[in-house]
Amino acid sequence: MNFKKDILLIDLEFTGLNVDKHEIIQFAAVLLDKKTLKEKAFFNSYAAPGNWKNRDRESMKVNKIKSEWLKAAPSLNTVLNNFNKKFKPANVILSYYGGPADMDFLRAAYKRAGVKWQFDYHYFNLWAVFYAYLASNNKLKASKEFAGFNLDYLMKALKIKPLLRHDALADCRMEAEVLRKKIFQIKK
Amino acid sequence: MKFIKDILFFDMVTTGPNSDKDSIMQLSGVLLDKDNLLERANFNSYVRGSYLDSIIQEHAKFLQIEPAVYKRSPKIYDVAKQFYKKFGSGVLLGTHTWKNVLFLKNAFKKAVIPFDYDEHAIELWTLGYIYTLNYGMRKMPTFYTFLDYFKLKQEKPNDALEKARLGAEIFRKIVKEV
Repeated sequence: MNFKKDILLIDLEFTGLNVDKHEIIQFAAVLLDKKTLKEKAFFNSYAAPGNWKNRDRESMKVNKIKSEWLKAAPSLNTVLNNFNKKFKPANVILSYYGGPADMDFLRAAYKRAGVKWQFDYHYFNLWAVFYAYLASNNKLKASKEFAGFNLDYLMKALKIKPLLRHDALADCRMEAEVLRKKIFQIKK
Repeated sequence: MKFIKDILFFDMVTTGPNSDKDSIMQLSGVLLDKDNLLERANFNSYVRGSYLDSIIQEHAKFLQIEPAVYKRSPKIYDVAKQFYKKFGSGVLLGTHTWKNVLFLKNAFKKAVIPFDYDEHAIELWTLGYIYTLNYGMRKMPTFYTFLDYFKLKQEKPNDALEKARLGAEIFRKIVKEV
């Protein structure tokens, strides 16, 4: 692999799944080297919610983030500005795992904060890579999942030791590790 | 090869790249069978964005169709409703980039239809990029890079249905080899 730019893999945790109502409360990212896919830098911050009352109980059970962890957290605007200072949008390919919810939340947050969105619209969607690989090799076996697999299933299959799931930084690192396994090989 | 759900590969022609400001002029989709990825059904509609003759002329010219045909086409909320009615939401969405998903979401919002597709979507650009990297290509690809690479010919440059079908064909070629 020799990507044109480094891969900036992001993961977020929210107070719920409705972008108009809920908020980002954890923002993490790992920067992967374009040649080796090794981690070069990372970013991790909680963000103080503006409206904690709006939180969705089910979502909070999944991310397990406690309100006391957020008390000393900076505002989301500060978090976005810190993120922008750390990574130059023109030098990276923005990447995420799963559905576009992360990107919807992130773009909406940039808009609300009045911070210009400078990332290219070509995003590297890890989920699509893993899904295509598993489907073409008849490995979509998890019948209870919509798509026949999830990240836990994939990590088990690839013998990747799980970290703390649904912690945004840990999720980023596990997704990066799956990518490094180079599962998407062409049968030349 | 076996996918869990049928895949709805969709594409569109828009007035520009910004989903907040620009609008859809044509929306198309091809439904691929989950077992063999062959086309099972399709959707194709132009979208009239204005009553102004000058705009109709301009859009029709871009789409390479008769202005009278474009003038008769439905508004975005009706097109979104038809699209949703035809395929339902039990399919997996596939498209070239996430930008198209944003435009589709906005169209559904205008039509007051819930966007209740699974949150995952196949983004062809990602698959195409990692595929061409495996063959040593260094540059950041575009849709046209993939057409060249797979020797696929585009007959009508501004036609969303043809683009959706070409996207589906690129997808078939990639998954066959991984």
